[in-house]
Parts: sequence; structure tokens; C-alpha cells
Amino acid sequence: MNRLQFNRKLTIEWLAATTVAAIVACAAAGCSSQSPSSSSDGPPRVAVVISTLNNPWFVVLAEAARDRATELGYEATIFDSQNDPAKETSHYENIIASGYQAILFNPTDADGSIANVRKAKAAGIPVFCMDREINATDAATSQILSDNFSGCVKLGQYFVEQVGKSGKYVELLGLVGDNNTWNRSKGFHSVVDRFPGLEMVAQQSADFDRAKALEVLESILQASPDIDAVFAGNDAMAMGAYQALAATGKADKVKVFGFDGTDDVVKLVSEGKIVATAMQFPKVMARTAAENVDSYIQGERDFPQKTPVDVELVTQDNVAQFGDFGHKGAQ
Amino acid sequence: MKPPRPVPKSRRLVWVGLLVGACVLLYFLPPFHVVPLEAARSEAEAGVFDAAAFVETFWEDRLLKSADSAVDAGELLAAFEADPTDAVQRFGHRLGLSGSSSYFVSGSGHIFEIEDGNVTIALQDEGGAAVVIETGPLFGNAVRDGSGLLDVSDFPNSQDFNALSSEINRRVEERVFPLLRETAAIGVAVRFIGGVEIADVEKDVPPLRLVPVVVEFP
Repeated sequence: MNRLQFNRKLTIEWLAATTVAAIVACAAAGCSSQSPSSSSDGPPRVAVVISTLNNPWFVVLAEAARDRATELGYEATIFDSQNDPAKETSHYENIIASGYQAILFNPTDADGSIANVRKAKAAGIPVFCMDREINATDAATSQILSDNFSGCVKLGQYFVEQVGKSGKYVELLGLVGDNNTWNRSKGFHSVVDRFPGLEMVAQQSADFDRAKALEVLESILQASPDIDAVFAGNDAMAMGAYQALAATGKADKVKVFGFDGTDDVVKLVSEGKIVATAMQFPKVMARTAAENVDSYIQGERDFPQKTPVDVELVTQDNVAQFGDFGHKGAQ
Repeated sequence: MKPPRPVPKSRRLVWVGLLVGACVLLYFLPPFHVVPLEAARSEAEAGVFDAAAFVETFWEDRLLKSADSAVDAGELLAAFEADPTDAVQRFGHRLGLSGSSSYFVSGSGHIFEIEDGNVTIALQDEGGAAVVIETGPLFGNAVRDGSGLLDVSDFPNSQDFNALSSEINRRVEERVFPLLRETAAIGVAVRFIGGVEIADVEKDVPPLRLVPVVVEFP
């Protein structure tokens, strides 16, 4: 080998070595300095990242956010995380690389989603949480959240009124990684547990999913056929529970309580098939979050970190006031 | 067969340099830490929010000391009668986008009625029911939100913020209600400070449904 060949080889090796070292060092230091470039032409872009679109309530949340952002002059795109944190992370990577101006965000996991929000923040993209929170107050620009705990305190009080101070019931939990699941459960139990005669015979997760709730309750009913009530952590699971009870001829005997205020459950409340639900206001939350995005882009920086939104009890007595995921007649 | 070529010295130096660099990197930025199980458990427990401890400090150091900021019950009722919207703005606290409002209220009067665990108080120089204290199980956020001293944005996990209400209510049941049940009798003079939560100011007042922080029988 002549000297020239040897030097060239050495130079290539040094280049490879320094490149590898630079990549390793950069990865270790958490480099993520992609600057957000807005799209050169057309309106500024806003991403709407939703935990799942396999539930009508979240479809309403996503579409209301997209529509309000569009009204305010933005090009809004919905991303479905399918309740999968890995998909959510992948959406964030695409959004950061694609020059979006802001993210309207419904997280899959209160803890697991924090890293995504921080990544967007580091890239200069503000994140506005809707309905579900993340367990950090220094990552998102604002969080508009349902007051699930207080809603379920009201629901728990009504549950005791309707079921009585003794009886057996089942609780269907939502996604275990979501704070809303536990805020609802704890709000409900803060009331119901004060009555020792009310016995919870089973507490199982059905992931906020109607089909899973149907399966889970069918299985529970085999072991505990004599229940008096079901408290479901959302309306999709209440529908699944009602379906399971109807299939076994128990729908008239077992009182079902939901949470969300979806149109199909509000209708079943008016028909007396489901006893009560709690109306969250997805359109109010989505519109407020989209308006916060607009204010941010116009220069506003002073947002309350968390804004709880009141939840209202829907029963046969007041069901006429509710519909279309809110108060009837409200925008 | 050709004998293997010796590796040039400079090339060996490159690999040694890389190895040393990787070792230094791993030393300063290890991919994992090994800690004793007990230490990890203590660390996890240390991170858990202790609502009882928080309320203990909050109650003594902030809530009781803010008694001077409580609105007089008579003044609040008069304000509701005159203009409910204005009364909410002047005296109320709203949590986020909430239809309900909460108040921190004080006053004195005499016990007017006791029925099913509900103690009804008529205010000084007035005859009718003005304030009702329900001495059964307590629910809701009347004291937490009425005091106006706690902000949900200060709590990374809203479950912690909610736990405060449960803890405050438990404390009222354990520390305030026993004295009230023991001493309350029709005609007895009473002084009170507490929280009031009102869902609809147009429909739900009077009376004021009070969750007491202080009840005294002068």
C-alpha cells in the first residue's frame, strides 16, 4: 500500500469515528433542535392529536377543535393515536418535522405523554391539552380539563339516592394510565364508600371501550348474577354494560350509570334505560383550547396552566336540557 | 497463503481513542443506575402527595388566618338579593369554566331549627333561616374553592387537588361537627366561618349551605 492510499484510509476512519462520536454525544445530550418552520404558503397549520377516534365522544372533541381552528384561519389536521403511546410519539415526530405552529392535544397517558409535550416545547411548538391532563405543569402551555372528580361526586350522590344505601354493584374503569379514570373513580368512591351497605363485587378496566365493557360485564355476571347497579367510567362502557344486561334479561333490574353525556346515552336516560350520566362539554373544551392557540399565536403568553370545566349531572328530571354534547341550543 | 498484515499503529490508536471516549461517555451518562430495592421504594413513596399533611399545614397556617377575608353572611345574602351576577363577581370564586361559585363566609346568629342533622341559623337581628349546616357526610369543594387560597394549576396531578377536598371534608366531620352536635340547641348563640358552594345563584339561595371551618358558641 503506498503512502497516499494509507492516508486516505486513515482520513476516512477519522471521519467515521468523529461522526459516530458526534451522533452518540448528540443523542446522549438529547439534541432535538429542529426549528419549527411554518409552511411557506397558505394558512398556519395546527395539529389536533387525539387519544382515540374509536369513541364518538373523542370524535366530537377532535372535530370541534379542528372546526374552531379552521374558523380562526388555521389549517387543522387530526391525528389519531389509537390509544397507543407509540403512535402518539410517532405523530409528534412527524408534527415537529413538518412545521406545525401548535398542537391541540388529548393525551393517551398522563405520565407517558409528558415526554412528547416536552419534545414539542423544545422545538418551539406550544401544546394545549384538552380534556385529559398530563402530570406536569411546566410542559404544556395550557390544559383545559373536565372536572371529573366533582362530576363523579354528584353522580355518586345520585347513585346512592337511586340504588339506596345497600346493594351490590360493579365498577367499570377506563384506561388505567389516564388520570380521568381515577378522578372519576375516586370522586364516585368518595361518596359511595361512605355507605358500608353498598358492596362493590367487581372493579375491572374496560379501557373506555364499548365492546370490552360488554365482554367484561358478561364475564362478571357469570360470577355475580345478582348485582343491583353498574357504574361505568364513560358512556361507551355504559352502553356496553347496558347491552350485556339486555342480553341476559337484566336491563330492567340493574341500574346503569355512565359518564360523558354522549347523545346515545342521553337518549337512553330520557327513555329510562340508563339512570344517569354526567355531561362533560367536549365542544366547550375544544373551542376554548383552539381559541387559546389563536391567542398564543397572536402573542398572548399568560394562560392559566389548568382550567377545569364543570360537569353536570343528567337525569330523567333534567335530560330535556341536554343534547348535542352540551346544553341544548348552546353553540 | 499470505501472512496476516499487522494493524497499523495509528489505526490502533483510533480504536483505543474511541473506546476511551465511549467509556468516559458511559461513566458520565450511564444508561441505567443500580439502586437498592428499599431505597427505590422509599423514593417512590416520597413522591406520593400527602393530602393529610398538606391540609394540616393549610388549615392552621392559611385557612384559619384568612378568617378576616370572609364575607359577612348577611352582606352576601343582601348582595344576592340585589344582583346575583354582581354578587358572584364581588365575593365568589369560580373554578375554571364553572357554572357554580364558592364563597368564604362568616357570621353570627342563633340556632333557629335542628332537624335530621341539619342545623339552621338565623342571623343576628333577623328572624328567618339564613344559614344551614348539614352535619351528615360531607361532599364537594365548598371550603377548598370558597377560600380562594388554592389554585389547581399548582398541582401537577389534579387527583392531588381533588384529594384536598376529601381531606378537608374529613377534617370538618371529625373536628367541627362533634362540637356542633354536642352543643347545638334551639336559641343558642353561634358564630361561624366556612365555605359555601352554590350551583345556581338564581335558584339556590337563600339559605346559604355552609361547610364550617370554625363554629363557636360565645
